[in-house]
Amino acid sequence: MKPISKSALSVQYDLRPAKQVERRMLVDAFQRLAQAGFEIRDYQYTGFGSIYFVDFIIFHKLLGINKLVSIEHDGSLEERVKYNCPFKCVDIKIDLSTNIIPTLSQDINHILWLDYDEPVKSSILDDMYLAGSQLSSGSIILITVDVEPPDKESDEPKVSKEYFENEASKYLGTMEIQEFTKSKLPRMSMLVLLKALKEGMRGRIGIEYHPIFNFLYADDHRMITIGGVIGSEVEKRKIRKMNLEGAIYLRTNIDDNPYEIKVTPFTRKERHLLDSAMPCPVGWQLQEFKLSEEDVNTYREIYRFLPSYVEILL
Amino acid sequence: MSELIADARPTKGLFLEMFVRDLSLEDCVLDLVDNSIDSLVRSRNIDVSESLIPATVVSKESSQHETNLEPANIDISFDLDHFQVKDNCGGISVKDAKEEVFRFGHLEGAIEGQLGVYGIGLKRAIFKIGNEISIESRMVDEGFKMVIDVPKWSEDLDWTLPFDTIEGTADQKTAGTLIRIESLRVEIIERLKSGTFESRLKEMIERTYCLFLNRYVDVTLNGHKIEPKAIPLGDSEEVNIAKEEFEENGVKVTMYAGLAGRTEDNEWKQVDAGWYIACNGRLVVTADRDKLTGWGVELPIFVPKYRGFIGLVFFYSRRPLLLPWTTTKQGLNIESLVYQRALTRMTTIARPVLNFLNSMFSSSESEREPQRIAAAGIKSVDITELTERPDIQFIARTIKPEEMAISVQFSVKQKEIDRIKKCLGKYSWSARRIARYTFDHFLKTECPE
Repeated sequence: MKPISKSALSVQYDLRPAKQVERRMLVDAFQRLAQAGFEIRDYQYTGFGSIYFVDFIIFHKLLGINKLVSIEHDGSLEERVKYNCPFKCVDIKIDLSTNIIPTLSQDINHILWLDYDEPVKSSILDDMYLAGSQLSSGSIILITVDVEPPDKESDEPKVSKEYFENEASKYLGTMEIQEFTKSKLPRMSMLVLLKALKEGMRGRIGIEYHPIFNFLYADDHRMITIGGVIGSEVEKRKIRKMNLEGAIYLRTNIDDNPYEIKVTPFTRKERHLLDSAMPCPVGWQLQEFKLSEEDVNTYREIYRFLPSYVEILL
Repeated sequence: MSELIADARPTKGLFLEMFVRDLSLEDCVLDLVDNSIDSLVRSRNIDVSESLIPATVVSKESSQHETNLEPANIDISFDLDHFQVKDNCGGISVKDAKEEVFRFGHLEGAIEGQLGVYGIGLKRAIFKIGNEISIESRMVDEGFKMVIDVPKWSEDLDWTLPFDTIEGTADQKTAGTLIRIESLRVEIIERLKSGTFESRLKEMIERTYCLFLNRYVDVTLNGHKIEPKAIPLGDSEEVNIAKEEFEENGVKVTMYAGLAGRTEDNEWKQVDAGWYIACNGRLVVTADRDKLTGWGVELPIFVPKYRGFIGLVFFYSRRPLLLPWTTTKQGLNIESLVYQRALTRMTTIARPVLNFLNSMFSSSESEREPQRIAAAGIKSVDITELTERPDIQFIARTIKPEEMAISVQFSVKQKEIDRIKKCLGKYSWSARRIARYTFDHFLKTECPE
């Protein structure tokens, strides 16, 4: 219900390396899905472009998606958002996502990314429910939420449980207090979001949620992005056909641990050196200086997706 | 092969007792009305699908014939000694009486009614109400009369109901059925004595059959004609009604969501708010604001600020068993797959309407005013016109807060106005005109666009 803006003005959106790795991995996965028979190019992308439109730029340029809708709930940003709109084909809607999701055409496929910077709350669950009911078979739903303990002052499971009881009671079922410890919040949040999605899918015979993504990362707060395809056996078969070579970040089973995006800082010189050896075999080590095996492994997993930032004097 | 066999046949007395337990007297009366309407649907070949709603009704057989027909009559009357329903809806044939109408439950392959679903309505109603039952039905050229003495029949092991043929009628217009029940059951007499029963029944009929009344049938209750009570869905130039259709498992679903037409004093009536659900044109849920239609579950809990909300869902099927109604037709089978799907769609099309109402009753004036202005112009529409409309979302074209007019009022001293008049040399101007002029002047010179 309340996309971005708040943090949009305080965080430089394009300079969050883990988030950028996530976006590049999404692009990589969409390319694989396209190969497996999903006509991604014809999909409509709907997201929260804010004033940066980073996801819009890469989805348009790298995937060729031409139907793009950016939702901005904050009417006071209207002019600024429109000013920053990168392409003519981005349609900007100044409205609540709750009002826009029910208007998504059921005759085409969608990628809907509800990229929130808040913890799970009732309006977010309402959006998931609406998406579950609205999105056509073959569409892709993505949702990002903050999974830090919702109360800044307290990590106590009791406090978190109270928060979730207020915001999501109908989806908590018989969850016990131990599900609300800090380390379990990512999984708990995912389960609650998926329950809301599936509630919205009630009565859609033969249509299921087929998971593909479950990312955990932290540029500052710990965040999760979960996502998958809403579809029938046909889509399920296509997903099975997907080329999984090197796609270590995919998560097609909700019981698997999330893929954790780790960004280890390296200097530019170090990256050039590492890149020249990539992809490296397991156990490989640099000659020039010593790196932990973990650092090398982490780098090997993400180097293709890792952005480089330079200063430009404007 | 087992040696012994236990007798598990139901006793008729127990069967009749249990059978009539789960429905109210009002439900019984509506069941009898359903039966009459079903006769009418059959005898006039009425298409109880979406074409039921449009104002111009065309029968499948011949449209000319249809338009010439007067609405049929269903007359309900009661006092403490009798209960009677008399119609001229076409009557029951001797063959149907013999083979189908009095069976408990439909036979495989039997002609289903459009409002009768389970083949129990008529029987359940008459057995619930009283002990001496007489049914007379006349079609053109044939007729029958059946008399049932319930206490006697319930002791009898035989499950047949004897009846005699009587003379038919000469004119199709008088073909119909008369059901008269006497020796009413004690609890029924108590209900009938209640001062509110008649008005409750009237309210239920005017809503339940609002799509049939005055068009296909006239219903009178103790001699008074019942007028249909419209569902107050409304729209205006700025605010439209959301519409969505889908078909699943042989059931066609059409749903609408929007705001109610404003009353004369520019308000909404909370009693009318909520969801209305019809199966084959017959309302089974009226102004529901509870869990059944998702309030407090999928939707927020109903609170007074949502009193402008009206939702309307039509389920149609040639096979009434597929529809999501319960046996009493006063509720929904929430396990029905088509209803589960409908519920998520109802929630989806209702959301934007509720968001509109949230803003309209917001504590911030600038957020609230545009919605109030848009809402003020909403007028109730005739739901018979709705089917013509395309599938569309709920959209309220509100004016932006900055374009909204607000009135400015304040007091100043007379001599201050006089000073301005003197300064402008406009002694004849009214204070109002002076105020307007000075405001415009400041706006133009100090705040140019």
